[in-house]
Amino acid sequence: MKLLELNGLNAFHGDLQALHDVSFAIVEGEVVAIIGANGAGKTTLMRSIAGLLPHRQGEIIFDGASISGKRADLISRQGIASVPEGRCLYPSLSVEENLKMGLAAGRRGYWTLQTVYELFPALKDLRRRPATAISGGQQQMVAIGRALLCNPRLLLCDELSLGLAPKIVAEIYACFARIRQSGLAILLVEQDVTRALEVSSMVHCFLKGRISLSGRGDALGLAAISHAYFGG
Amino acid sequence: MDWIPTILNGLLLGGLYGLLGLGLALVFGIMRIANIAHGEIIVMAAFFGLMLQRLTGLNPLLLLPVVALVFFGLGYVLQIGLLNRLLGEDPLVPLLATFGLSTMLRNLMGQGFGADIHRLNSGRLPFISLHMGFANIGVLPLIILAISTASFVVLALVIGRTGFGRMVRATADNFHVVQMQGVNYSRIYALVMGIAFALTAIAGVLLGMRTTFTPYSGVEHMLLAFEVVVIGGLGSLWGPLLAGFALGVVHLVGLRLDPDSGLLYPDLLFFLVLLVRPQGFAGLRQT
Amino acid sequence: MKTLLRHRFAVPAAGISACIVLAALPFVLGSGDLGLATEILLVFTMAQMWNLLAGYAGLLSLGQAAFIGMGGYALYGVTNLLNLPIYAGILAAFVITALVAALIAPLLFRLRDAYFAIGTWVFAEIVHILVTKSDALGGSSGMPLLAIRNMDIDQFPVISFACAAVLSAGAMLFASLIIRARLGLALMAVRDNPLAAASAGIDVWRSRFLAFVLSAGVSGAAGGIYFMSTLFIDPNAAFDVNWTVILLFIVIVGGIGTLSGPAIGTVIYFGLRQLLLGQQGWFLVLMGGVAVLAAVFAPRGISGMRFLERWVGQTAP
Repeated sequence: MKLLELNGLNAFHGDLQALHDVSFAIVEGEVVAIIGANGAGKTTLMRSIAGLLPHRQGEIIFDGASISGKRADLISRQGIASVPEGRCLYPSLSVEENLKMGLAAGRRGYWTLQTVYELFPALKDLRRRPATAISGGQQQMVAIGRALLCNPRLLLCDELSLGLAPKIVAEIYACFARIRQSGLAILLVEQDVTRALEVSSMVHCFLKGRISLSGRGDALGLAAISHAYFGG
Repeated sequence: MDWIPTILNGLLLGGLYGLLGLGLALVFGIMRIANIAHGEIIVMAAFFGLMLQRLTGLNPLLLLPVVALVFFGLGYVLQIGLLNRLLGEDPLVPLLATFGLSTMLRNLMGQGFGADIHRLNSGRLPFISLHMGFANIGVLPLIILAISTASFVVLALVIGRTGFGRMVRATADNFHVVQMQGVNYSRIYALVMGIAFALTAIAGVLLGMRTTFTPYSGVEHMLLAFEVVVIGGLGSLWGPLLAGFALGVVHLVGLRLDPDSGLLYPDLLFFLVLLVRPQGFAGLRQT
Repeated sequence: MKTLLRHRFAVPAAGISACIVLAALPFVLGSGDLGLATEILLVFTMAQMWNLLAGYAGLLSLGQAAFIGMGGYALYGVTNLLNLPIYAGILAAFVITALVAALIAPLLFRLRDAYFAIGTWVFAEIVHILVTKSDALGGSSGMPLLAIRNMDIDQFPVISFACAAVLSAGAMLFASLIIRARLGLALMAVRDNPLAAASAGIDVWRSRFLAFVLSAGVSGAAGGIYFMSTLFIDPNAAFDVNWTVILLFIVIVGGIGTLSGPAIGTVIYFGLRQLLLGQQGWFLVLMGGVAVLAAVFAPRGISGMRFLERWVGQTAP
C-alpha cells in the first residue's frame, strides 16, 4: 500500500531549480533513506513534501490523495511529521512544552507523553528545563519526540546525526526499531552513508537535484554508491 | 511627605500606561509588527465607548466587555485581511501600512467627530476618594489600576499556562517550524492581534474616563505606548507594567516640577534608557 | 519616450531647462502664485532629503518634522532675537539642524527598523514640547517674522522664491553628485545589504551618519525658508505630524530611491491638493490610503517601490 508517492517533482528556489523530475514511492511502515552530497537537494525534497516550499511542479500523493500545493499545517494534520535539520526546538519553551507542541496536530495514537518518555527516559528528568539548556543529543531526542507526538503515518527525519558524537547517534538510531513498532514509515536524510544503508530497506542517492541511484541497502556496492554520490 | 500623593498617583496612572503599552508589546513581540495605528485604536475605542454610553446610559466600566469583544473582532479581521499578507523579510512594510492606516483613521475620525474634546461620563466615580492617612486616593484611578493589573495577570496566565499560549510562544519563536506540528500561524497571529486590540480598547475606554480625548489624541498615546514597550524590554510580559509605573511617576513628578511640560519627561526617560540600557528593564531578546 | 529619457544628456538638459524656468518665474507670476511656487520648491527639497534617507540610506524617518520645525525656529530665533539678516537665519537653520542631528544620531542609531522610525518621532515630539514651553520662541501661540519690518514687503515673495530656488537647485545638484560618488554607492550598498557592505570595507555607521546629518541640515534650511515665507511660525504648524504624511506620500508615489521620484511625487501632491482644495481632511485620508496600498503592492519591501518607473522607464539611478 503506497503511503507516499512522488511523480515528476520539480522544485525551485526562486529561479534556481533544486529538484528535477524526482519520482519514488514509500510503502506503509517502510524506511527509506536519502543520501547525497551537500546541495544535492535532500533538504529541498523534505521541505517540498512537508509543504513548506511553495514553488513546485509535479505531484505528491499521500495516502491516496494529492497534497501538492496544500498548506503545510494541513499536511501535518494529515499525518506527515518532520524532524527538521538542526532540530529547531522552540527556545521560549521547556522540553516538555516542546514535546507537547506535537499534540497541536490533533492526532491520537500510540504516542503520548508517557510513551515518549518511555522511549527517551533521559528527557523525563529534563522536562522542565528550557529546550536550549540541554545537550545536542538530548535536543535531537526532543525533536523526534515532538514529531512522534503528532502520531504521524510518515516521519521525515532530516540529518539526525548532524553535529552529534557517534555514540549519541548510535543511541538515537537504536530507538528506531521501537519507533517503527508503532507502524509509521520513515523517510530519512542522512550524511552517514553506512548508517543510512543499515537502517533502511531502500536508498535513493541524490546528485544535483536528481535521483542518481536507487536500490536496496545490501544490494548496492560501494563503488556504485560513490559514483552516484559524487558524479563524474 | 508632600511627594507621596504625587508618586502614588503616578503609580496609579502608570498602571494605565502599562496597559496602553501591553497590546503594542504583544503584537511586536509575537509578530514583529509595529502598529503605528495603536493610538488611533485607543481613541476609536474611547469614541465607541462614548457612543455606546449615549445609547445605553450605562457606566463605561460596564461597557468594557462589549468594547473588548468588538475590538477583538476588528483586530482579527485586520490581521487576516491585511497584515498577514505583509509579513515577510522587510519589517518596514507592515510599518508603512499601519502608518497609512493611522493617518486614515485619525482623519476619518476628524471628519466624523470634528475637533471637539470629549470625555466619557463615569458618573460620580471621578469624585470619590479613599482617605488614607498620608494621601487621598481616587477610586477611579484605583479601579483602573486593578483592571490593568488583572489584564496583565490574565494574559500572563494565558500565554504561560495554556495550550493556546504555548502555540503562541512557539509561533513567535519559529513560525515555519510550527506548521510542522499542524499550527496555522496566520490564525494564531489573527487571534493575537484580536487580543491586543481588545486590551488596547479596554485601555482606551479607561483613558477616556480619566482624561479628555479628540480624534487627534492618538499620536501622543502611541508614542507613550511605544516608550512603555522599549523601556519595558522585548520578550517580557511584565516589563511593560514596570515601565508603565516608571513613566507614570516620571510624568506626574515632572508635571509637578514643570507644569506645562506635557510628556517631555517620559520622552526624556525613554532616551535615557536608550542610552544606558537599550534592552530595557527586562529585555531578553535584542531589538 | 523611454529612449529619450535614457539619453545621456537627458538629466543635465532637464536640469538646465529647470534653472532657466526658475529664473524666469518671478517675472511671470504674481506674488500669490510665486508663494505657491516657493512652497512647491521647498516641499520638493524636503522630499528629496527624505528620499535620500529612506531610499538610499535605508533609514525610515517618521520625525522629519523635527528638523523642518527646528530650521524654522532657528531662523526665527536668529533673526528675531539676534537681529541678524534673514540670510544668516537660513545659514543658522542649516547649521543648527545639522548639529542637533549629529548629536542625536548616536542615540537613534542604536535603534533598528521600526524602533528607529518611531524613535525619530519621539524626538520630534521632544523638540515640539521644548519649543512650546519656550516663551522666548513665542510659546504655543507662535511668533511673527520681525525682520520683515526692515525689508521691502513687495519684494519679499521674490526673495523667498529666490532662496527656495537656490536651495532646491543646490540640493538637487548635491544629491545627484552624492549618488554618483562614493557616499552614494556606499549608501546603496548599505541599504541593500548592510552585512555585505560592512564586509566590503564600507563604514556603515559613517555613511548613514553623513546621510542623516546632511538630510537634516538641508531639511532644516528648507523649513527655515518655508516659515520665513509665511511670515509666521507656531509649534503646531512647525512640528505637524502631517509633514511626515506628505513627504511619505510624495516619495512613495514618485518612487523611492530614484532621483526623479521626488519631483514627480511633488507635482502629483500639489496637483491633488489643488483638486481637493477645501477638503484637507479627505485629502489626508487619501494619502493614508496610498501608503496602505503601497505596502500591499510593494514588490520587494520599501526600497523596491518604484511605481512610475515601470511606465516611464528608469531615468536615473
